[in-house]
Amino acid sequence: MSRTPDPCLDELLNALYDRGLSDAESAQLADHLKDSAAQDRYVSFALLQQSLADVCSPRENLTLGAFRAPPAKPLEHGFRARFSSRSRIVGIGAIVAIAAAFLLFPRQPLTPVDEATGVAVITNSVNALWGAEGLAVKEGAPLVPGTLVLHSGLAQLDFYRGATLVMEGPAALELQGDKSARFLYGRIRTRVTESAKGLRISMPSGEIIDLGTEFGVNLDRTGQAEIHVFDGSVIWRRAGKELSLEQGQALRISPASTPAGSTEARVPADDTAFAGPGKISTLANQQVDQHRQAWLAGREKIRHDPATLLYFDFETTGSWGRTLTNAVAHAGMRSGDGAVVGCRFVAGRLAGKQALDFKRPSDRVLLNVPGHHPSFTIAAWVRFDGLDHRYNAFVHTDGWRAGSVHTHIQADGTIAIDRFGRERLTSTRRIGPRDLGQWMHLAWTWDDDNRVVSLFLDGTLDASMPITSAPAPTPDTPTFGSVQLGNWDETHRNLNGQLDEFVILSRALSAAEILALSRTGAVH
Amino acid sequence: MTTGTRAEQFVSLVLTHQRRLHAFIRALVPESPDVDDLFQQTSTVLWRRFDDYQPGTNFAAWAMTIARNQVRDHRKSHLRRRGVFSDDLFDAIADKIAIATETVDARQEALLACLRELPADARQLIELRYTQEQPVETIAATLRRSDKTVYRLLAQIRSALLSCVENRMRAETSAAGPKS
Repeated sequence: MSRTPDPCLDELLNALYDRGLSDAESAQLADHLKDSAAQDRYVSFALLQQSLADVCSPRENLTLGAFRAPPAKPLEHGFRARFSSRSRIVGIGAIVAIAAAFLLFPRQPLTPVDEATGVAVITNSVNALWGAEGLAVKEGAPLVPGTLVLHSGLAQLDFYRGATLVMEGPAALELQGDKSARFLYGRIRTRVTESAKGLRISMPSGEIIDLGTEFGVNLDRTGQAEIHVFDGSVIWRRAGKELSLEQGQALRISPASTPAGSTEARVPADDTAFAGPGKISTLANQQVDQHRQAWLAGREKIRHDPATLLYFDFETTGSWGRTLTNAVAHAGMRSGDGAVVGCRFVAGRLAGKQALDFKRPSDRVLLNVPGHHPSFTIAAWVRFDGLDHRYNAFVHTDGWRAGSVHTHIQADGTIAIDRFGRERLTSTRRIGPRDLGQWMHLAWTWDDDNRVVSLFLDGTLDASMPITSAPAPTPDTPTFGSVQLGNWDETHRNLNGQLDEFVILSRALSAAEILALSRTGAVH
Repeated sequence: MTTGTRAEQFVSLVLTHQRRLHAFIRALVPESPDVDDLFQQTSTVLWRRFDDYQPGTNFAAWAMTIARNQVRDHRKSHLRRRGVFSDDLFDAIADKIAIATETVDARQEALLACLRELPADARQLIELRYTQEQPVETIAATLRRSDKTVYRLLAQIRSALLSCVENRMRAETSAAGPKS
């Protein structure tokens, strides 16, 4: 029985578990396995693989479906802790022999970054241009403590403790907590409900404590400030001084650095000088139209691009709403329409635009993309509402064979792009709790000319890696063929989320083109 | 004598044998990412047919027969993904796996002991591959080694672990004396 293992067989078995086998290798392995000793070797390998997965897995993946009961015996969660003892064992010689090979490995911390706690959220904005030097801002996404730099435009933010604040660019505000901020410069107007009073805004020339009110502050970069109270009252405080301001009153404060020292002067409040939520709403409604126009213009570009194979805008549907019309306008190589299984049409990311909602295990879109495409781009507006499964399907070609294109989101939030037996690219960014329910532009390119695969999130490069594998062996094999969106076969990996625009092009878009695509009709 | 409800008996049996059953299915579909789904489907069928099961008989054998049929159906519906076993070989290999999985818990114990003896760097590699489930390319990039080197090292570690596990099992069997 203990014959020396066949090196070729071992090589194939290792390949099977590390990168998948090509069709030719599969055939070779099948050939080996006619031999009974090879079968034994295979079985040992398979069980080792299983034990390693069981022992090392950070989460235990055995589920009993509907039968939810605790495991009879808790399984190991990582084996690190178990390495303390040193017992003599058989077979150690072989292990020691390979030890030397590892001595030079660099150590790298591999702990995931924790999600920081949000303190406020941007709830509305008009033409807001945010400075890259400040916090990354996304409407509707939680804001963590840090500085907001608004170059121009208007933005409304809601503190988690109930205060609403409108910033008028150029302005900068440092969020310190869910009821405190440091105002650096610009113009703000804030409304604090009685129940949420206690908002503190500090600035170079003192501190404002809100007592349930509505007020505006104008602060220039020299430190000159004006506080206007429109409703209720506030307290202004600076070393040794404290003043109360009532409705209709305003206070002009000169900075401490002026020759005469700091001075305060009472002036009448000017309600019209500060933009509030009403103004934002009016402007935002006008902006909806502009967005739609911008989107329509971008849409025409995609439709007429000769490289576009498939373009779903989710606006044009066939009979019974079960067919997604491929909106490509040219007569060149293009895919057919998509078939909607399950799924519901819902309001999309732009006012008046549709999206497709994937929720139930059966929900999916089926389509066929013919032709061989050495390079390609897949791009979509997508909204994840939850990561329910170990793998959450995004785009999958049918089957799982050499060259298959698979894109899914793993339970840990990383986006994985797989070409079976070839490259696997994993996103740097993780889809976290803050991203759920948010629209995101996701695009990835397979650039066969430059031999690189790249993933872009919201228009910027997130991860890329060189293509090291040889080009697809048979150019007559379709690169995609049958494709499913939001699901894969009968397995439990259906997407919980929405799609709004989906496009496949037969060339790798440049980073600039991806950025432009992500800006087309982007929500604010 | 019945202890607990039928459902409780079922859950208890499945929990006792789940690791073996999972290993059995996984070994039968090495290339497929559908192992968990197949396991789940099998569990569902086991419950549906639980009335056919004779209490006191070999539950694992019964469950593996059903699992084997599930995998066979799965192979039929995924023609292109039939994998590395031809239909002729499928049953022969399934028989061998069924027997080998009897020792799945002992193998795991042995493996834990063997892992303990691995040098730290080899452990790190195993951890990257199996705990973090990173693809070889990512590991290679992290460790600044070529893919080829990482493939080779993983192969060496597996080979070492396999002989270690087998030696340990053999030692244990002989220490425990001949088994029935």
